[in-house]
Amino acid sequence: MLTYVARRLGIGVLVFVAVTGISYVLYHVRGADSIAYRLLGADARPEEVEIKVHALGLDRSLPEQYAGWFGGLFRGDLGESFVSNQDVTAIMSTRVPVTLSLIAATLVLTLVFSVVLGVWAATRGGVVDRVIQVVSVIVSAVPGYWLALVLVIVFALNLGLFPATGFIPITETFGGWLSTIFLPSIAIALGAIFSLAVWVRSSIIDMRRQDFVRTLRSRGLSPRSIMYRHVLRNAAPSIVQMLGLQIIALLGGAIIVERIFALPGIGQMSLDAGLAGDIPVVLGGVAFFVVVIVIINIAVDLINGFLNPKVRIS
Amino acid sequence: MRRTWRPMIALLAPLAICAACSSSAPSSAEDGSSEITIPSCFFGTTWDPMEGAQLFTTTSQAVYDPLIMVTAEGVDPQPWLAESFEISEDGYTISFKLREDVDFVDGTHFDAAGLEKYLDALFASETFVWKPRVVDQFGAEATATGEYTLDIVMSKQPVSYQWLWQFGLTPIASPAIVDDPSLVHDEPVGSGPYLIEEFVPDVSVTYERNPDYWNAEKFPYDRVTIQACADPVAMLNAVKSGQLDVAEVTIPLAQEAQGSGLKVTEGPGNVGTMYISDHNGTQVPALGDPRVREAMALAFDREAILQATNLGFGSASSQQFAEGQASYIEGADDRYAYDLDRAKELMAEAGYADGFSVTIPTMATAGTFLDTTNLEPIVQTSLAEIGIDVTYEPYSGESINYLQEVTKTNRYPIYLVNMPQTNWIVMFDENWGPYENAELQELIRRSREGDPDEQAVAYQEIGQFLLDENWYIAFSRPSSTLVSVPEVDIQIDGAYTNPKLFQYTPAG
Repeated sequence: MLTYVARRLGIGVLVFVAVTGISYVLYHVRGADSIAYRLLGADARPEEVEIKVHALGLDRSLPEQYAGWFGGLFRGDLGESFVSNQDVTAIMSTRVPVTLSLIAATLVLTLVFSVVLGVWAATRGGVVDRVIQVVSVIVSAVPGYWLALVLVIVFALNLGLFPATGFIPITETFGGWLSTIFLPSIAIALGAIFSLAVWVRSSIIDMRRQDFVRTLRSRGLSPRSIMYRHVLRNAAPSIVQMLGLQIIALLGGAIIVERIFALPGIGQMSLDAGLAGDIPVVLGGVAFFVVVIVIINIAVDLINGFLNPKVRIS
Repeated sequence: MRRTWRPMIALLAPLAICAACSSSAPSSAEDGSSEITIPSCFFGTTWDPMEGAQLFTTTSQAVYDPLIMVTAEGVDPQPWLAESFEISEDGYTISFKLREDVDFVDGTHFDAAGLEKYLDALFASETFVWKPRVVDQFGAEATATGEYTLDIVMSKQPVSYQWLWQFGLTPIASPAIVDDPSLVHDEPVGSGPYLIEEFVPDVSVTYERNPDYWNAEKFPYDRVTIQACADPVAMLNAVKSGQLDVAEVTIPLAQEAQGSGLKVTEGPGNVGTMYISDHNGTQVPALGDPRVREAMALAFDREAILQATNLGFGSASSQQFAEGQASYIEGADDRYAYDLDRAKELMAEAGYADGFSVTIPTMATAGTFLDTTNLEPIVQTSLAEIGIDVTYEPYSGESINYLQEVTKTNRYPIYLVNMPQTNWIVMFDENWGPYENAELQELIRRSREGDPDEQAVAYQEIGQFLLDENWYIAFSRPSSTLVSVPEVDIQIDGAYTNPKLFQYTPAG
């Protein structure tokens, strides 16, 4: 198992280097002067641009700059913001909890709601099943940012049930944290909830047709016991796999949703930094998302290994 | 049936719990003290005035004072930490009489010796953001001439409006930070109206009143919270839900805000302008004829353009400069009011009754004043009315060179620019070298030299010159729009749209 985890971590490091390296090159492709102008404003004088380029170390070769940035990672140093001169790690330290909250809440909501709805549709059938499938198609077609705006208008502005913007840390009040994170998480998760619910439903229906389920029924086990102790357990690996893919796909939506709800998270930070040409901060954001994706992938593999011995052996 | 819907009830339960936990932040304190929550897009993360990133942002206005307060271009500097100031006859020396009742938050008394020490260090600092424009260009040097008097002497260039404007954006800190720069690593050491209560870098900062502030009545709020600005839609939602008291939003959102009972304060925004760089007619001979340029100026129905593109927010004006700016010409807003018949007559008089063709570069640096995509159809359809056939082609150079090209070359005969509300005609000249026109060059020289009255006259003459010559044809002047809750008034001076902290006041 340790070898397996080490191998997955090794691949994760390669992915990290590839993604951050490509991001680095893409940001520098227009040249050091362009970056300096973006930071100073289009009315900057040539001599100011020259000073800025030198001050930021943009006159060094690209491999040298990237190696310097990558070397800093081992010291926990992501460099300094081109705009505010602040340590990127310090900037990120207040934002990571926001985005992690969002990811965690989205993960929990997606898992809980999709399993409940999927099981409900598979076991009840009829109207409930058809409604869930139709809603799944509709919700999948709705862009997350539109849904976010509708949620804000209905639940925050009209009903006043939730704050329209902002974030309260969980360390301040749990209720406050929940109220600020609920709508954004729903906006991100709703599409995934219904997609995954349909997946759960199909997996359960397939599983219930298996011979071992018929055997369990013939032995007189209760339907509830068969569902939760055997059917769901056997359907779980494919559901977890699908959940992992859905969450990774949803991270892009998190950037937009953070903006709509003015959540001071990594997504909004990366977007603002990208527009301002603040490369170290953008790379900090990219690094964060790559790490999250690698961790989610490894976690999915490990959970699958735990749920399905065949995966462990292979 | 009840069993069937049990899962749905279970799923909706968290919604109810979360809603019960929710509480909106009130915009006024429960103890009766007044407070305001405003956004700022220039969110300082360092309190060190010598740091490159440190401008006189709203966040630093709360904790630092400038020597003179300049709220907008064209608005006279107000005394602040300097009780009064005087510019010498030759314009090379500015003498400040300092207030005697000011202490910094570290207990250091504000006097000329300390100020000289601080300014010497600031002017020498390579990371001081205004060093090139306040110090190097002018050769500025500070000298204390008495206990509470100080001179700044220029060795290269006389004091100008631009210098006063930029020096007015320079925060004054305690001289103690010169000996121990670590003092400003975590907190400001100024003399400003507020003290920091809570600071979350890059996210929010909350201030409470500085009980010892010398000018407390100027700042009506006891508590101020500044939040990092966000997407305009999110900010408007925050104002609607009471989380923010003020937000700068786009024009469609401002209209929506008005419909929701919020207050909209308009300030001048960027001006949609067509710069005829080939005004000598080198590439397109027709453009060298003043009658053709006048005809082009007359071809824009500015009222209709304003209504169509900006929902009526803004003003229709023939001149680039906004009211309050030094080069604004009183009564000249309708100098080139829409008159298609007269425009066609002028074209015919100039020998271009059948029109001519011209190629204009297109720029699309989204979110900046170089993004001219909104201007292109306006120009094309308006000029077509007088027979001028406009062809667009993507700008072939780097966007960073675009503004330099506007003033330095005429690679293209016409450029489109959303001009920012600064005195860009002088700024361009300072940044990228002189215009080739001797008359304009002389006006710009006079605008930088001599006493402020003479400079003001020169600025007026620059405005008149550009209006007469039609090098720059303005055709769209949308407002910038600030939305506030009904309880808050916002004062906008002149052409500057970012209000100072004291310009937010309780309504009435």
